[in-house]
Amino acid sequence: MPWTEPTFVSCMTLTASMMQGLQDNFAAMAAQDSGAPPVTFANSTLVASAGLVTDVGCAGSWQADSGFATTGVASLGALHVGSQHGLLPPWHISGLTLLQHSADTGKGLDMLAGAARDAGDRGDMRLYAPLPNKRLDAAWSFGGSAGAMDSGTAQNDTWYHVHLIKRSDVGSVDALLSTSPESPVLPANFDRFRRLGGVLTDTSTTLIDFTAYALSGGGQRTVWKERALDLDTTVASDGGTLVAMSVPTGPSVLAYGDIFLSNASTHRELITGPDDDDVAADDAHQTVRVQTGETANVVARWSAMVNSAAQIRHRGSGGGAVNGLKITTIGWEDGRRP
Amino acid sequence: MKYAQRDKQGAIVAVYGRPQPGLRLEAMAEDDAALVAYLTRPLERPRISPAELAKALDQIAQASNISSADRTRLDALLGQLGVST
Repeated sequence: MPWTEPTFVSCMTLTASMMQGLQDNFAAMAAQDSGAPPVTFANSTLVASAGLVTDVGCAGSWQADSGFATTGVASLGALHVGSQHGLLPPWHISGLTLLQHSADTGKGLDMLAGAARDAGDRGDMRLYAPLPNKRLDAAWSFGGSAGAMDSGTAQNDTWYHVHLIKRSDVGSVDALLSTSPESPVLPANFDRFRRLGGVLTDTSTTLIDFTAYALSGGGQRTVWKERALDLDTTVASDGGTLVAMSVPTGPSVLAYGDIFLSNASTHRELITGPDDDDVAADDAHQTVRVQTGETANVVARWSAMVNSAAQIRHRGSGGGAVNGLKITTIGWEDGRRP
Repeated sequence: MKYAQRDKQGAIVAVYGRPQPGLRLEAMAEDDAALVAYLTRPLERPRISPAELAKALDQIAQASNISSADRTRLDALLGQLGVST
């Protein structure tokens, strides 16, 4: 159901019937949102719920955040209902790009300002300013320069998913890290989350360096600062073989990189996603090819949608062994859909 | 960290950047000597020039004491390559 932003743009005087109408509208919105209405009406009194009314523009009228009560006729200014009641389009996400914290790139993460609907599309989550230095090396606590782990301690060589989280009762927004892309362990009273991206630790439990870029539509492109060599082999099966790549496990992302092939005789390699048909590599289906008497070493760019195990498929034709087959990962594009 | 796959003789035949579901792999530090040797192996087979080929075949022919008829045929073949012993 599309919401209409309940903002009053000028001061006005409400009669009791108008206040009742206001309450009815908010109650209907709250019913759709499975949340508490931001404004209730009882005994000729308008009561704003704590945390849900965030701004009042007219002097002498409503107070923000802490809740209030006034009787009879009230003067309203610019009234903005708290973000529990959605104003963003369904499944929206924008901004919220991930960065390594400049003062500690190995342990700290920053999230740029932005907004998103939560994973259940029940309400909005807004980060009005960058959230700096959420820590890989400490249990979650609220705010910047504070821990981010949802449970346990960070491990070597492990993917962590970054989630924006929110307490819908008071509107507090923060972030945490979890091994789960879909079910992070939320802190007490936090009830909403949205996955923002994935980060990987190395053998020293340090974040592997990356750069992230915002994509149109709310997605994010992540690029390894040093591309990852994910396969180096001399075995080149003529059947399809799945290989896990250096992209987050869980969400289906578009991974991309380079494939290098070296051989003295003709050989083809085709890279596809696991959801694609496992077709034979031939002249019409090939990502890279070397040919007898011609080029012995070839490199080409590949891209494919990975599965939840971060796998792609490579399939050769021309024999079971080659001088060298190397597949690297440059990065991935994540639509950041729930 | 890299993950190596070995054949029955123990030779590395593949190196992966991530653990692979269903595959039995050996985790190896990136500075492991065997791993580095595999990753830096030469990928192109050695090539020799026609003159080097002719010289090598001549040495083999002399060491093998081949017949004069075979020697004639060998020289003819090398002549087709534009070289001679």
